[in-house]
Amino acid sequence: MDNAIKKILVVEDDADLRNILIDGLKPLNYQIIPAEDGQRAVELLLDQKPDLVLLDLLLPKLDGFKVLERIRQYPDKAIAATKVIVLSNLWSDKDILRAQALKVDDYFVKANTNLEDVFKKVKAVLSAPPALK
Amino acid sequence: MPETNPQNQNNYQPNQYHARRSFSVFWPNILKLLNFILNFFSLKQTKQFWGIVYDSVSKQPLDPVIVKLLYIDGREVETCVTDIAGRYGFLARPGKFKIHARKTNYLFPSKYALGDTDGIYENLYHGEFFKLTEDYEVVAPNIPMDPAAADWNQKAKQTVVKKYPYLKYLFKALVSIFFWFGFILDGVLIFKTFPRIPEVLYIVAAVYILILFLSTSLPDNRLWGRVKTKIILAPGEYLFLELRDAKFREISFGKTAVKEDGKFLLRSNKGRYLLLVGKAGMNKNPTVLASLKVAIGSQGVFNSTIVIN
Repeated sequence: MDNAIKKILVVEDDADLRNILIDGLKPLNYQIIPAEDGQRAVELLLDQKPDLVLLDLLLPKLDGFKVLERIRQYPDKAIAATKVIVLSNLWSDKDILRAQALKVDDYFVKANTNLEDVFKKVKAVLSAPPALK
Repeated sequence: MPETNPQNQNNYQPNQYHARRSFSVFWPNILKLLNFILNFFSLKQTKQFWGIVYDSVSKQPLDPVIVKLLYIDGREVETCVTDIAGRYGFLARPGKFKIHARKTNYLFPSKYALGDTDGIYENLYHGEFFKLTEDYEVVAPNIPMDPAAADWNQKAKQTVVKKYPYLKYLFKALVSIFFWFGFILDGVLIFKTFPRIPEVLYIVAAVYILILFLSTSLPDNRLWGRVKTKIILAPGEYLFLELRDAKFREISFGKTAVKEDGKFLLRSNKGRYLLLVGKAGMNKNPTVLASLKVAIGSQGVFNSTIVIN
């Protein structure tokens, strides 16, 4: 059983919301890696190899969809299979379909979500057995 | 998406109970229509379903803003995040409260938009305490925030959602001018044709009088919905409502707890949804008791009466 502390990359450009997410995840005993834009998220993803990415979609420099595409197309299979939960205020069918096509583990609409539900989901995804590669 | 979310892993027993919209929807719908007409002619400022947090300079809605409803001693009652249209709202019990809004690169309370209106938005809030006397009143004033620095998110969002509050204001002003012009013209024509006044002028005058009467006497739309049920809940249990998209059923588009008296406040964008009615409680997995197909209109609120039996 893997007892290493799991890493979560929190990608959110709004500092206040990012801090709330970090404060909510810290008590769950994860290592939190914050990123304020999409470009930084990709750099940290390759450098830190997080177990899960909590991803906003409207992001400076590189939007969340492009970050997702880079993750899924990465040659290293472990990185390409990184678990991703989207937390965005975009909620059109087009956006959801696009995220689903990029195999996100869940999609939460910020305004309609109790953040406790997001934290529960993070916990559930990280405690699920890894997919066969 | 895999079904691993506890939120999505409700014990689904939709056949345990039957949910339907109350049949007594005739009057609320008529009321909604009449209030819409009066609001269209700027004859009545109808109560808002949602408050909007907006940029006091550009008048564009802000998101994500963390809006907190606080007791007078600073304890938190409820927190919500505004949607892409800047909307938020609370349903609160009697007491003394204040609201706090927080967003990166923005300051609250506003120093630019003072007073109760800024010409575009009404019922402005600036951080003052307020008292609620009725049980579960809707709390949704409009909240201006002042830009403190350039905000990338706000600029980028305008490619997704761009509001034109000044155009809306101009349109309403023009409609109002035409309304009052018609009223005065009818009066002048009645005066000029007296005593052989054509019938049509009487009818027009009667319609105007009726509209003006309604503008002062018609009650407001109901801002909240209500659940009527005989389901007995254990201590600590509560009912909840959740909207799932009709296509993407695993994604939650709105969730709210039903208050003790059955009232709820549930928002979402215009569209067709599957409404789940369930119960939850401390350390208990949520259980879905019933489901119902519903549609939400352009006002972005689901405020019907749901009967569960």
